[in-house]
Amino acid sequence: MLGNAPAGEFQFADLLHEPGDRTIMGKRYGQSGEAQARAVLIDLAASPATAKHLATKLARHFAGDDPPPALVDRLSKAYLASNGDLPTLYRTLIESPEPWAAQPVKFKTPWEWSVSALRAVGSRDLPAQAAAGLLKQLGQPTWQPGSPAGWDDIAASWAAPEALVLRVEAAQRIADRAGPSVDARALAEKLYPGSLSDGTRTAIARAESPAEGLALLLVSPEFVRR
Amino acid sequence: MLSRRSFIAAGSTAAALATLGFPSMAFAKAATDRRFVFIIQRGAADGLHIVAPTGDPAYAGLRGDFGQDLATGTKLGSFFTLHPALAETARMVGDKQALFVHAVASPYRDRSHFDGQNVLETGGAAAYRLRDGWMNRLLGLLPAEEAKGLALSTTVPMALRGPREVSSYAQSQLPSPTDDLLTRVSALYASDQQLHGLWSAAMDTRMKAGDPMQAGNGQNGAAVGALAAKMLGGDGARIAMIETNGWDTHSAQRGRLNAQLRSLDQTLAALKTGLGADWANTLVIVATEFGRTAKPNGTGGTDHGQASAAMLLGGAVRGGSVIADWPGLSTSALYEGRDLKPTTDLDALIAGALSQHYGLEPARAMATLFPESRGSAFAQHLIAA
Repeated sequence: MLGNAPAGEFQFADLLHEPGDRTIMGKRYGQSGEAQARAVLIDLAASPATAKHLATKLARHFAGDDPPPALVDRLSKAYLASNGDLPTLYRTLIESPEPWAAQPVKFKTPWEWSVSALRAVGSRDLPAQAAAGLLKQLGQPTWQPGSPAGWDDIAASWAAPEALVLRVEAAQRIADRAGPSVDARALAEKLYPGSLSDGTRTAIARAESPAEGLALLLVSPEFVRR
Repeated sequence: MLSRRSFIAAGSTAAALATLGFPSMAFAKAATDRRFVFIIQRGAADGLHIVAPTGDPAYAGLRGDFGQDLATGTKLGSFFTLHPALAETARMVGDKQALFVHAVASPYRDRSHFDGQNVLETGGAAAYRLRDGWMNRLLGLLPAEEAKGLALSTTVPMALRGPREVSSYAQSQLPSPTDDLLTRVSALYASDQQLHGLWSAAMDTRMKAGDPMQAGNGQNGAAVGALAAKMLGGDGARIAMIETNGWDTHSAQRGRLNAQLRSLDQTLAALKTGLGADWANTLVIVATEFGRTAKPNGTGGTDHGQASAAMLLGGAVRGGSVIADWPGLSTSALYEGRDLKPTTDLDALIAGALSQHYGLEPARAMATLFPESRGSAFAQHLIAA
């Protein structure tokens, strides 16, 4: 019934669409087939509720779990004013001051942490199975969020006691794999120029072995947040 | 440049070995019947507590309570006592298959683990001067053969790195974090409210659950010793390196070292048992990057020092004693008034032992293994055959 649709492209399945009028969010739609579906989607996209929803998600991702209302407001307005033009929305986000906070405001998700950890140690590739295994063990199994809403973007979902211990285990493993060529002391200064805390610097310097120092860097307060 | 072959263990013995604070190994093959194992103690092991100079007049006053641990230890002559946790090792001493060298240190005179370990493993005169390790250079001195072997560490440690091919073997599961790392993470999070709260909760849970993987029950140590012996058997590897951690006892030293030494003892015993007839041709060297302070600190531990003790074990060893040019423990005899003064060069000891073990010309061994050294290989008879 879907014909020869190329992968990744939209296809309207006529046979699956229930014919007849329908009322959605108080408005009646009398079109038929694909035109009706389109009409509904366009109205939903233009709704202030949608504007606020997208604005909040973006703001939360870049400016903290409790997104500043001013930012959400600004983003909503930009979305509606530009008739839902996403690049305009993003430009507004970048031009806003709130996402540029000096202190890290977000606890990294397992995905974010894993990528940053591997980049930090200079890993160029990771076998697919190892990557999947790592993310599963850290609590974010690839493409399996457990809900159509996808992954949560708040600290409570990721910053849990046992999750933190798992991250420490993973850090130890990544550090062991990195080998003796990575010097955690120098790497720490390079990653956080001017903002490396004394506590972290000292902890790394006093580590029992180079691998332990690197593991400590990867679980330091600076590194588990962004 | 170095090329490595890594083998991921899928189940089998490797899975059983993926445990807390687990020593890891790397191997290389050379055409000879003689075996050599280097066991590194990462973290600056306290030689004064492992081979305690109980006969030194200043010992009791300096070490206080620590001396109690040595009460049941095996006497090594009239001056030294071996820590009782090294029970199997004591048996080897009795069989003349183990000896200790005390007041020994590498050329490194500072107090950084990273730098000290780099000197210990590269064999340079200072940190980061040499890019390869002395064990890799050793391979060049032995009868030429393709280096081949399985390993049990995720990467090749510095001592084995270099142009000659060596292999490393990765464990498939996430190992539990070592006790040492957990303690350090606690300190790292102390001033971060969010992380401190989470971490305390996690550690409380862990304590209540009882961690079955505690280091020191000897199981881990025995397993790695047995596996190393298996790898070194038959047509397999001839040179191996075992990495051990957890020696940095700034606090609670008595209990921690007891556990550490029990694990090391089990590794050595398992090596001997596993190697069987090949033990007669084996030399094991155990060494650390530097020692610890003569006087304990206020938290039941010791801080970074200079000289420590090294061990030589194996059927090939002319054992049974402690070799030391003992400097004494009086305040004037201590290095900077705080540390055991080094009187023997660790580089010379390693070169001497290896040249005797493999029948190499001592001066050539010294120059190849420790090219920046101006000393000569340890001349005293260390190897029997």
